[in-house]
Parts: sequence; C-alpha cells; structure tokens
Amino acid sequence: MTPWLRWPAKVLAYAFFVGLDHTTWILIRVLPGRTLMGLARRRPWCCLRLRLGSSSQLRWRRLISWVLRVRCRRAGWGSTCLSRSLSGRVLLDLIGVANELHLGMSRFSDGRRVPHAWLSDPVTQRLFTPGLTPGAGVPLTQF
Amino acid sequence: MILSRNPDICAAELDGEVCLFNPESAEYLNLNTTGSWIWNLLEAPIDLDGLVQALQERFEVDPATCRLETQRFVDQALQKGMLAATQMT
Repeated sequence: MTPWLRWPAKVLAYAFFVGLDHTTWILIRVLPGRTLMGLARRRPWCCLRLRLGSSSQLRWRRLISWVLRVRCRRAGWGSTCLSRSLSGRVLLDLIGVANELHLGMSRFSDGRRVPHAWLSDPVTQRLFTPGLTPGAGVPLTQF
Repeated sequence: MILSRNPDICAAELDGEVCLFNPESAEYLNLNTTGSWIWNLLEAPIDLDGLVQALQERFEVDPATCRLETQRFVDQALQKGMLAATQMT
C-alpha cells in the first residue's frame, strides 16, 4: 500500500470497527446471557473465515490489533470491555488468528467489584485488549 | 439433602471474598465474607446440618438464626445454579 493511502484506510478501518463495537454493545444489552455465552463459545461466524496467505494475514492482524488498541484508548459511550473484546474476537476469527476471551472480576480502588473481559493471544499471551491491573482482580474463566 | 458446589462454576478468591461466575447463564456473583466461608466449607459435599454446625463453630450465633440464614443463602444459591443438591437415598 502506498503511504498516502495508508491513513484513509486506517481511518476507514477504525470507523468500521466503531460501528461493529456499537452493534455488539446493543446485542449484549438485548440478548440474554445464555445466548451470548453460546455465541462466544461456539463462534458461528467461523464458517465465514477468509483463507489468507501468511503475509496478508499478518498485515490484517496488525491492522486489527491497531484498531483494538486505539479503540480501547478512546472508547466512550456505547462501548464496554466485553463489546470490544467480542467484536475483536469476531474480526480475528474471520482472518483466522487464534484468540482467547478471558472473563474476570476486577476491583477498583474504592472497593467496587466490576466484571472485566479481555482478549489475548493463547500462544504468546500478548493482550489484544487491556487486561486486569496486577493485584486488583482475578481471572475467572477463559475459552 | 446433600449440598455440593456446581462443578461448572468458575470461582476465584479476591481479598478473601469469593467471586463466582456461572458460564451457563453468564451470571457473576460476589459473595461476602460469610458467603465465602460457606463456599469454602462446601469444598466437600455436606448437608445443611453439617453446614450449620461448622458455621456455629466459626461464628457466634444462635442455632435458629444460623439455620434460617444459611437456609436462605442455600436456597438462593440453588436457584442461581451455583450449588447442586442431591437427595439422600
């Protein structure tokens, strides 16, 4: 890709992801927890998986990681850790990158306990979306 | 009635209080100190009488109140699917 095309492509990718994030957020509000758990576990979107060469997969993976990183930094209304992790999971599954969804309980400094969800790479353990602050929460499950 | 933990439940301890997650219904549950104590007692299957007895050794409480409150906790936990109950044969 030529450099002058790179920025518009990134902006477009980000805009698309914001749309996906909001859609997921609405789905999380509307669907019952049982259905949502089933979707996250069974991943019915895997049948739409694209067969990519390793170099183009790497390029897509870089773009998606960038989008997730930026989105997590400047997410506002209509987006939660779960909606971002789930939409990231859909995108990563589509390009065939392995990912693991973690669910845990985090504790704020004022003692409140809030559930947290994050996405990581099962092989390198690198995080796609921010995880728990060390010492301020426990992981409960991952799949 | 023998009470035991539901083996599907994910549990972890945070500052001495147990957090539970039910993957079936996607429900989180934060137990308080007493609830965590009961959860730890339920590591091995135990019946309600045994539970009440063990709690009375730990907490200074009269038997009737202890029994009533434990029964209430157990009922709620069963309803939420966090505990499993097996009938004695």
